Amino acid sequence: MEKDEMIKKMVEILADEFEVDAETIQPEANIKETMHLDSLSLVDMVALVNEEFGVEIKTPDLPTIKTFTDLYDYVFTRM
Amino acid sequence: MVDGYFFEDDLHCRSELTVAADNMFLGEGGCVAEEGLLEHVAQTSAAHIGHIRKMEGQSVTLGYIGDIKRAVFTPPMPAAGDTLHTKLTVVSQVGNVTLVSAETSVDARVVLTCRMKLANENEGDAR
Amino acid sequence: MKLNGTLYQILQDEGAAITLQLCDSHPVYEGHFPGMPITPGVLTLGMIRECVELRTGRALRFSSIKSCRLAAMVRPGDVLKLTMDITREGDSLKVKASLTGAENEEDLRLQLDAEFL
Repeated sequence: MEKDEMIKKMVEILADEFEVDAETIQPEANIKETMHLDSLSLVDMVALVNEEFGVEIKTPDLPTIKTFTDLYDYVFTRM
Repeated sequence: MVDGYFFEDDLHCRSELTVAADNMFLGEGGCVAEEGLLEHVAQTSAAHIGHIRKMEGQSVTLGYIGDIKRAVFTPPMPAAGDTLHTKLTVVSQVGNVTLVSAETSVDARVVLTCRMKLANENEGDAR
Repeated sequence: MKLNGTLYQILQDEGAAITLQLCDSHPVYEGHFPGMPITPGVLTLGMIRECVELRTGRALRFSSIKSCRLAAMVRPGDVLKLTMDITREGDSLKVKASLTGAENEEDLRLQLDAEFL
């Protein structure tokens, strides 16, 4: 999968799962703020990424994933 | 609300419960209320999380249901004397929040599938 | 399992909202948890089911739960407000409910999106 294609798919599934407008998912936007994530829904995001892309986000890595660009890079390099 | 807990690996376990005649979730129709099945899943999850914490040398802390999603109940619900068999899979875990997926059957008939999040207290949390 | 009168009492029942109070004692608190009573989430869910039954006048069972978020602890003595939005669809009832502090609707305890039969 190309990175562009991965990003497109990621935006689609995140917007759907967390019921936000896909337009608000901008590369440099803050993930938690954009999708209103708390400690519970953060686990949903981790599960979704694992199910859709086969990439397991490790708990210690989470603090380094702040923006959507961070997330795309993390996932793309491990797919 | 768990009689038997069977560890398979870090991400999987099974459990059993035979519904006692005085189970608090039994309703007037003699069947376990749906809430009772959810409690059984929650306690199965708690047993699994507690077992893993113990193996890792951590203390076992109190756990709470954080959320329940995609729960589907297929009647008839179990009655007193029926044995529930639950298969539990850990889907993901972040910090002290664990997301599980569960399937509960009676006589090989699935009565509940659901996803549940369990939040465990941190060691030393103020009570 | 009947919880009205043992786990909680209805203080006021008006229109879409019911104000209720969790009773100070119930056998479940002996184990949940010793010295630190917290209402089990599944019993809070049972309480909501009973309130939907009260509103619709018939016995109901959960057929599915799309989501149920237990946002904050419920404890004995709490006075809470349950707001229900019930829509009929054939034989089934779609219910969206939220349980908050009676005085403070920002104090969300539980949010439910479920279907009953």
